[in-house]
Amino acid sequence: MHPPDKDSDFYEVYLKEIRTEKNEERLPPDISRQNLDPIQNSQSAWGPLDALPGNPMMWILIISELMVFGLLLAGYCVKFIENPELFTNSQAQLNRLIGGLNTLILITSGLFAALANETSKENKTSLTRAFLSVTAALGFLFLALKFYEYSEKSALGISIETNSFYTLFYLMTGFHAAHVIFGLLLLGLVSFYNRHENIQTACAFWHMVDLIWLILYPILYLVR
Amino acid sequence: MSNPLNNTPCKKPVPLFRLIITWALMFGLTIISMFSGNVFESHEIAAPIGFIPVVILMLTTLFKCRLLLLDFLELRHVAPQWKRGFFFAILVITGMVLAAYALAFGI
Repeated sequence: MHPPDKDSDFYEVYLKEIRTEKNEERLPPDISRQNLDPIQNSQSAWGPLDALPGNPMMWILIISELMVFGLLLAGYCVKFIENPELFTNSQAQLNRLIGGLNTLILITSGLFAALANETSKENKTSLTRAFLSVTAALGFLFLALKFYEYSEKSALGISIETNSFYTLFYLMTGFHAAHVIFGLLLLGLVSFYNRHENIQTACAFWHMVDLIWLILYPILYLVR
Repeated sequence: MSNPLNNTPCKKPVPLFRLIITWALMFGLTIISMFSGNVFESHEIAAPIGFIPVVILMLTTLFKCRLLLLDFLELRHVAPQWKRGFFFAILVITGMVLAAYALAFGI
């Protein structure tokens, strides 16, 4: 049987059960203490990932996403070195203000996600749901501005096939927007299944989406 | 021997004021980024902004990401190896962008 997550409500119960079992076996205290502490035990379920808050699977996803976007940005840098004029002229047609507003919106949504995580630790369900709702509303606002930006570009005849700058721009911002949509689904799901571990995991995903945008915005919209 | 990465995550609630200060700092740094990138100019500017504003942009990005990792993603109380690892990943990306900019414009 795998031990429950350290942040879950069942972890304390799990530790007590182990202690009781070990006391019944009447092992010497020094040996039993070693075995009882799964944090000290090198054969813990997730290894070093156990040290991170929330579900370790989400951290694997966060690390993977950082690598994917890192590689996409490496491709962007290579194409930028090859043709800086094309990139500078193409970037001048982007709406930098909308990009900046979207950054402020995501940062604010991140604050509400962090607040939801904090209130869920104290089992304040209605307050947690309220914070999650504000987070999701700001996520929808981000998507609405992104849709407006895409339609603005479309009206100018700019598409993913226009040039290499726009191919990478649509690829990265579109992939990021897909993550925002998935994040909204997760937020909706955990507002019903509102155990602390679930909320912490969904909020970690939301912060990851926030983190990626914090990197994408200056590089795609401002560096020229 | 225990694994140095295997420490206990802090379960104490993060003080509300710290979250708000983090948000305010990130908000302010974004405004600085927007000014560095001439966002508030009404006309389309295709001219390069220069190396120093790009350095400012990357530094503000690094600092914002660090704040998000420590306070929003709750890495402040985990093993320092994790914090260094994530911060190094962001540092590599921003360093790569600075190097690309220097190479592209022959700085």
